[in-house]
Amino acid sequence: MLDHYLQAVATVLLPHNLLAMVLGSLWGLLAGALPGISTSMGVVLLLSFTYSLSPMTAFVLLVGAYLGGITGGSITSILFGIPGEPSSVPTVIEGHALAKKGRATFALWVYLLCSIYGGLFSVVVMIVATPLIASFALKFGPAEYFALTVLGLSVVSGLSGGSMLKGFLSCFFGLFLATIGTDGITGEERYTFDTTILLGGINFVVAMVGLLAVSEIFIEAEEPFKEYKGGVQYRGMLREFPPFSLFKGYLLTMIRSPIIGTIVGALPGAGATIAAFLSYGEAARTAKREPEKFGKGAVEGLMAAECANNASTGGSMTILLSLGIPGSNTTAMMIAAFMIHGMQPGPLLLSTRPDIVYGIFASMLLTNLLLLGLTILAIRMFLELNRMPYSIFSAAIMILCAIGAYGLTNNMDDVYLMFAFSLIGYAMRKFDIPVAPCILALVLGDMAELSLRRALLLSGGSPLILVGSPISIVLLSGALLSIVYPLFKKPKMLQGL
Amino acid sequence: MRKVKTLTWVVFLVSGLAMAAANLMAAEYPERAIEILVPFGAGGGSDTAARAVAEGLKPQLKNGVVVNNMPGGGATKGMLYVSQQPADGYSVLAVTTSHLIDAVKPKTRSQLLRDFDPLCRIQWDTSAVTISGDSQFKTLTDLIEWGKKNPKGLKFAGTSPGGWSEIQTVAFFKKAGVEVTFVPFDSGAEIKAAILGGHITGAVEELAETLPLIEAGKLKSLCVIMETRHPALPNVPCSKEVGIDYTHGLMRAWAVKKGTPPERQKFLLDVITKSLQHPMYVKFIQDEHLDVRPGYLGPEETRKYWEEEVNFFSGVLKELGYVK
Repeated sequence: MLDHYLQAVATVLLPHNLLAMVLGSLWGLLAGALPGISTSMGVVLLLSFTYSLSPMTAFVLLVGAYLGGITGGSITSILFGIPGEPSSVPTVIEGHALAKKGRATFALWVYLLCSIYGGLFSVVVMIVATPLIASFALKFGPAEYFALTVLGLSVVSGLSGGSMLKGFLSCFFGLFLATIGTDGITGEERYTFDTTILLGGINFVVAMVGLLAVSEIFIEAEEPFKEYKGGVQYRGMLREFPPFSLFKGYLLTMIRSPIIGTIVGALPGAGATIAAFLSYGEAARTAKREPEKFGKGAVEGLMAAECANNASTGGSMTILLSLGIPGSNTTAMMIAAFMIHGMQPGPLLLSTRPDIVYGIFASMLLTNLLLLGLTILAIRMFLELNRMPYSIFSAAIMILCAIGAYGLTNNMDDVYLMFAFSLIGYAMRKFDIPVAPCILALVLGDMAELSLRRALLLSGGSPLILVGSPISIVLLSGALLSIVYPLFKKPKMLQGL
Repeated sequence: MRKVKTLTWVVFLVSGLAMAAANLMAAEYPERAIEILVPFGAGGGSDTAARAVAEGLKPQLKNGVVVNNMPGGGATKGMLYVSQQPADGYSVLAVTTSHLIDAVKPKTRSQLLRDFDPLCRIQWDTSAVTISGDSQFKTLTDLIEWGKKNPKGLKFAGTSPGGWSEIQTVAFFKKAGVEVTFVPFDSGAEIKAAILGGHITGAVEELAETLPLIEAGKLKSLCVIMETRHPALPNVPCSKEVGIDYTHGLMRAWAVKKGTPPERQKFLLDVITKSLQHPMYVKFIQDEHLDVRPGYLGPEETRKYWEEEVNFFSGVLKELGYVK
């Protein structure tokens, strides 16, 4: 066992593999940071280069792009309030709020250290407990998925900022959006108005880019002639390095978040985005110190989201390598990479190609360490961008958003939809309606509806299946608690209801 | 100065003439890249198949070939797109069984049989009845007998409600005299996880996808849906053997818009047929077990096969209540 790992580390450290790791991670960081290019797209674009590489080098490259992408998504989120990845939406809420207060470099440090910690945590769990994670993930059937989405949706109160009423308004709008398109159970068309534009439903990346990124540009463009002092104020990176005691103070969050991330990452159909939202919601719900800060720059929320979205990588890879089932979009693309090199990911992979499996473990471990350094470089680069006049920067971002929306399915329809959403997002900001609950509901709504209906199909209509397993009961009571608790605890939260 | 001016004119004239000549010479089809439109996302079965054929096309087409993905609307969005391009042989649609089902009750203004000419069928896949490795059912007979005693008691998963996945599940079990509950999921990954976790009984799915899990004993196959036994699973009976008269499988074909000049259709058919012999493609279909049943059918046979399948699907969809 140990020599397998030593051999794997030695292979990954060969010069050409190291080069692949650096290039893959840099590409991932860039793809992640740019709002239009998602991590899975970054991996797809690399796939065609892997034909001519040796299998190990190919996987080192792809693992680099995968981990880099999940990590890079948060740089632009914190600095510019523009999420590079859907999994960085909670980071936009807390991280960008911190940046606006002049603590940009502090927020970036917290994000970077938590990301790397979350990533390493999940790799270690993966190495130690692959069979355990895989069998736990399989316990999730439709009823458990439903309970998980209910728990996810119940954090709306935590995402609402000032008024719960507006938070729920935004949430229900998102749930409505999730019902558009082809019904996943009957194949019936809903709210498509006999056009093909809405037939496939609303892709949440399109909605997210429009609601958050483009509408942010509109808001900024309202004051084109204001004196320009750079996007956000920040102090030097060295001066803002967070002390160890900061993380120690949030011990519960630091332990819980990567666990949530690893498990949710292993669930096919969930992934980094849902992991980040759930972990963020848990932190908001149990915050002992300064719960009122959530939505306005809570360090704890930033930590929770960043630990979890990076930890989901280990979970996703675990279920891919042990069962051949992709836990996320990006790992689904990796299956293609296995096939290109004549392998079938599945339970037998460990015995047929142990070199590849241990090599992937080793490269994930080393890539996380490498990213610590590379991300600092990337952060410095993006901090420089901050000095660029916003009028120029925003135009570039707008182009990237349009390209990204088009690139999802090579279709102009998504670009139109994205601009429609940017107007909706602009209006929502003007009326002070939080955007995050809408995105959360759009991400979870589809899964909530389908898993509920699947569960009822399986039980022949009996709702008892929803509380039929310990997992569902625990998750649902957590959801109940987070909805009921604020009603009794803090009548202030109900302002506006 | 004058000299320079004249010289400029001469240069203009000559380059203009050269360009015109080049245009005339290149007027031979294909003068630009041919687009293969895959109406599914990147990385899926149709996409990898199309890209494998495209590898073999590359050396034959000097202006190249581009594979583009346009998922959405159950593969109809991409079909609509190709039907809106000019019929000049530069857009080729990767057709699957989904389009034949859509032809019964089209979702968009485009209908496969009416708007397209088939070039050829390239693959004919095999499905299998797959359940969990530790399931109580040892043989297909066990499963069918239990299913007959408990109507709707067997829960089978699939990916497309009202589509190929539901049709093949329901139609197969109908021939066996069993009524099952069909539970649609979003992806093959979720289905496999749900079978392994014991949340559903099983699935009727393309075999190649589940083979690694079957070989590892985590899943088991009770029956392959074809005329003979499958070489990768010699111990598993085929549907004909157990007396179920059902051998339909997922097909992949390529087509162009109706009205494309016959000589261009012929050209495309020739280059595609040639690329099906390419060693890389041959290795690909061997790895994916797509060579078990002969996939290739010429244009005429493909059209005839399509018409038969559409008839069959129309009957099944009527019984299921999707079409009145």
